[in-house]
Amino acid sequence: MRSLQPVTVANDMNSQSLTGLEIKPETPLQVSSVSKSFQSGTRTITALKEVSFSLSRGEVTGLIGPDGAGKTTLMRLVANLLLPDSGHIQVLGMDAATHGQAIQASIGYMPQSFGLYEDLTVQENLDLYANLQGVPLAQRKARYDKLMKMTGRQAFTQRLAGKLSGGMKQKLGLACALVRTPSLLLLDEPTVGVDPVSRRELWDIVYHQVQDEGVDVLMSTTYLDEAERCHEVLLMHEGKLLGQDKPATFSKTLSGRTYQLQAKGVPYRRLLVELEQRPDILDAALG
Amino acid sequence: MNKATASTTTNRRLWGMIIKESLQIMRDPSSIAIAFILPVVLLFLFGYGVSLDAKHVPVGLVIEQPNAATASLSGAFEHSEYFKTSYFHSIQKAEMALDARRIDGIIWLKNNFSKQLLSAREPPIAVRVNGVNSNQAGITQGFIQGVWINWLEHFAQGQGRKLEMAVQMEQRVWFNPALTSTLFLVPGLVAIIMTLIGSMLTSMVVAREWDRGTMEAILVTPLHINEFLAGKLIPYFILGMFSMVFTVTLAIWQFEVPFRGSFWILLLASMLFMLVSLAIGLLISILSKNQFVAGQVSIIVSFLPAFILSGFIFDIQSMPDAIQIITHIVPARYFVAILQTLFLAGDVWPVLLSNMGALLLMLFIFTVIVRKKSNNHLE
Amino acid sequence: MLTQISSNNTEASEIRITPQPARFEDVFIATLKTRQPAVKKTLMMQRAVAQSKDDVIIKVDNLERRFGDFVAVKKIGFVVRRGEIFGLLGANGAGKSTTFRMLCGLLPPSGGTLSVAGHDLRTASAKARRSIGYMAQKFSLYTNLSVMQNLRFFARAYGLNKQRQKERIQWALDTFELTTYQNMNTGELPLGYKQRLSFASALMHEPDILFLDEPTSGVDPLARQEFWQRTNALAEAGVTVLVTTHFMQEANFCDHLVIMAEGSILAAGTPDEIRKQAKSPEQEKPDMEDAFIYLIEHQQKNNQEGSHE
Repeated sequence: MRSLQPVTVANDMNSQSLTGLEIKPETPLQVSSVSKSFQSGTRTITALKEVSFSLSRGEVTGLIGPDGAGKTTLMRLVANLLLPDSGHIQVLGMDAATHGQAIQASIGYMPQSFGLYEDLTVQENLDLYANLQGVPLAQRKARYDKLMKMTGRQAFTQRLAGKLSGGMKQKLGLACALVRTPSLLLLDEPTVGVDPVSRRELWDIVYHQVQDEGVDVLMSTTYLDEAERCHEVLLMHEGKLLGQDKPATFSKTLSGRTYQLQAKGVPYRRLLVELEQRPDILDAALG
Repeated sequence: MNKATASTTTNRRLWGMIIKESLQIMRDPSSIAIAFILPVVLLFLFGYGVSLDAKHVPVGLVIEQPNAATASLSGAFEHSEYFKTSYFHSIQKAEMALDARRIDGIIWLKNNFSKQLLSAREPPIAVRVNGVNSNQAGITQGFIQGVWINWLEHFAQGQGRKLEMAVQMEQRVWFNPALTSTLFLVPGLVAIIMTLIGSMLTSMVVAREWDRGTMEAILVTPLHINEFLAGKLIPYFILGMFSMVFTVTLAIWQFEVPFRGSFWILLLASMLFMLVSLAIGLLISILSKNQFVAGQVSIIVSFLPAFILSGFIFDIQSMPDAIQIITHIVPARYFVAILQTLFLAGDVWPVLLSNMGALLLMLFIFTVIVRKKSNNHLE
Repeated sequence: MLTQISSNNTEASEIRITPQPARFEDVFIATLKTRQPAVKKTLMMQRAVAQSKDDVIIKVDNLERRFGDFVAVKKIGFVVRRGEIFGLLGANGAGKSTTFRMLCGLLPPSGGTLSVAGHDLRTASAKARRSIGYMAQKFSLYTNLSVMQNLRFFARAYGLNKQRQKERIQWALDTFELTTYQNMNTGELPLGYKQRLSFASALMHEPDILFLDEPTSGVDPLARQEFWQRTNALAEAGVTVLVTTHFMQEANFCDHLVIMAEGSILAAGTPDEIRKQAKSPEQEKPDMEDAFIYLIEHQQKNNQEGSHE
C-alpha cells in the first residue's frame, strides 16, 4: 500500500493514484494555502499570501489582476519553477513538491517573454521544443503542420524569431508550448501589448484547445475585459485572492448600480470632474 | 518508460540543446570574434608590439679624458644593438638626463681610466642605471657588464696580458638565449584566450538565458538542469579547443615560437584547463543571473587574475610572498606553467604532472560547487 | 440616483441616464475602492498656461524612420492642438514609441518634418525643453534613490531655483500622496506609487506640453483611473498632453487620437469618429478594439483587391 501524500482535501474530489494507473483527477490544479516571499535587498516582498483555489476541468480560467498581484509568481509555482514557502500545490493529481519532473512532462508553459530564441528561425525554435518535449520524430511533421495552420504561420518557417512582429512571436510561443498537447496549459500574460487582431486569434486558439483537444487552460492577464471571455475568473490583488467565480456572477454584485450618461452641450470633462466629486458616485469614466 | 527510451529522450534533449547552442554561436559575432579574431590581435600585439626586451636602451657616456682606450670602449657601446648611445660632457649633465628619463643608464669613464684599466683595485668605470623597471634594469646592467668584460678581454689580449678576474662569469640564459620576450609571452596567450572563452563568454551566454526569459520556458520542459548545462558547455568546449589549435598553429608558424613538447600533452592539458574555465564561467552565471553582472564578475575573477597573476607576463617568483600564495588559486597559473614548459623546454614530467594534478583538483572542486548551486528551479 | 447635475452651463443641456451592465473593470474598482481611502483632490496646475496665438502645438508631416531595411514609421502626419489630450494608440511594434521618441527629440527622423511648439526638439535649446515634461515608459526612475531624492534631482535638472524646488516638491508630495513614502527607496515602491512618482517628476517644472509614454502599463484599474483624473485636470488647465498606449479603451480619454499599425496610421479622429467607422448591423456599438479589428480587416481586403487589379 503506497502512503498517501499529505494533501489538504477541499470540497471537490481528488483521487490519488494507488495502482499507478493515470486517472485524470477532477481538478487539474489544486492550490492550498500557498504563500511565497522574495528577498530584495533588505526587504522581504510577499508575492502571495495564503492563496487557495482549485480549477475545474474543461475550462479557461483567467488569473486577473494588475502588476504586482502575484500572477507570475503563481504561474511559476504551478509550473514547478519555484517552490512555495508554505502550502501545497497539486497539479494533475501529483504533488508539486515531489513529482516536479512528471508534472513538467504533462504541462505546457508560455512565459511572458514568449520563451523564444530570437537568433533561431521559427522552424529551429519548434525543433528545439520538440526535442526537449520528447516529441517522436515520426509525429513531428504532422504536428508542425497542424500548429502552423492553427497559428497561420506556414510562410514564415525560415524567418528568425527576432524578426517577427509581436503578434507572430506570441503565436510562435504558443505553438512551442503546444508542440506536444499538454493536459494543462499555463499562459502568463500572453496578450500583453499585442494588437487586437492577434489577441482575438489567440483566444480562438485557446478555445479550440479546450473544446477540441481537452486541454485545461490557466491564463493570466492584466486586461480586465479579457475576464469576460473566461469561463471562470480568479481575481488577484497584492498577493491575495479576492474572489473566484464566473464573470457574470462577479458583475451581479454591481447590478442596478452602473449607468451610462450621455450629455449634450456639456463639456464632458468638466462633467466628469463634477461627477467624481459627488459622494454617492463611486467611479466615473469616459466611454 | 523503459530504460532504452529514457536514454534516447535524454540524448535527444541534449542533442536539441547542442544544436541550438551551436546555431547561436555561429550567428553570434562576439563568439567568433573572441575565439578567432582576438587571438590574432593578441598574438600580433604581444608578438610584435609589446617588447619587454632591452634593445636600443638609451645610455649616456661620460668620458672625462678622451683617449684611444676610451674611444675604443665607447665604440663598442655604439656598435652594440642593445644600446643607443649619446655623449655628455659631465656627470652632472648625464645625471640630469637620467633623472629626466632621457637616458636609462650612464656609463662613466673617469679621468684615470687608462691608468686604472688593468689594475684590480679601484674601478675606472662607473655605471648608473635607472631602476624603476627593475627587470629591465637588471638586464641592462647585465648587458653593460657583458660589453665591458668583452672589451676588456680584447684590450688585455691586445696588450699581451691576461685578465685577472676573481670569477669568470659566463652568462647564458637558458631556454631563451636571446631573451626574446615573444617566446616567453606567446605560450601564455593561449591561457588568456581560453580563459576568455571559458569563463567570460560562457558566463554571459548562460546569464543571457535568464535575461531573455528563455530559461523559464526551457526549464519547464522535461529538460533536466544537467542536460541544460551540458548542452551549453559542450559547444563552447569545442569552440575553445578549435581556438587553441588555431592560436598554437599561428604561434608556431607565424611567430616561430618553438614547440619542444608533445602535442598530445598539450591537448590533454588544454582540455583540462578548458573544463576548469567552463566550470568557473558556469558558477559565475548561476550566481549572477544577469548578463552584465556576469561579464563584469568574470573579468575581475577570471580574466584579470589570469593576466596578472598567472605568470603570463609578470614572473611569479618576483612577486611578494603574499601575492604568490594567492596565485595558487588562479587556475591559469598552472596552465601557463604547462604551456611555457611544453613550448620552450619540452616534456619535463615533474613540472607537467604536478601542474596538471593541480588543475584536476580544481576541476573537481568547481564541479562539486556548481552541482550544489544548480537546481531545476528558478531560485 | 443622480438627480441634479451641473448648473453652470449656460447652453441648453440634455442629460440622459440609462442603466448598463457592469463591466469587469467596474467590479474590480468597486472591490478596490471599498478597501482604500478616497483620493485627495488638490490643484494640478499652480499657474496658468501661457496663452499663445498658435493653436497648433505639435505638427508632424511625412514623418519617416528607417532602421536599416526596416521602416518603422511610414510617412505619417498629424497635428495636436493646445490643451487637448492626444493619443497614439497601437500594439507593440506599431511604431508609436518610435514616433514618440522622434517627437521628444530622442531619435532623429529619417525623413519628414516635426515641430513641437515651433521647435525641433533635437536641436532645441534648454529653454525650449523647459516647457516640456516627459514621463518615460516603465517609469524610468532612479531605483536606488529615495522618493525625495528623485524629486529633488528632477527639480534641479529642470533648473528650478531653491525656493521653487521646495514648493514644487511639497506640491508633489501632497498631490500624489507620496508623503508617507518619501524616504523609501524607489525600487521598493509598489507599482502604482512608482507611476505617481514618475508623473510627479515630469511635472516639477509645470510644463506646457506633456509627453507620456505608456503611463498606465501594468497598474491596477484604480491607479489608472486616478491617473486619468489628474491628466484630465491638467488638460482642463491648458496643458497639451500626448499619450501613447496599447490599451485601446484608453482612447476614450483622448480628444483626438491616431491608431497606428505597422508604421502607418490606421485611423485618425475623435474616439467617436473612429468607432463610427466600424458601425455595422452586426456591431451596433463597437468599442475601440472592434474598430481596430474592423479597420485592419478592411485594409487587408483593400490590399488584396488592389493586388488583383
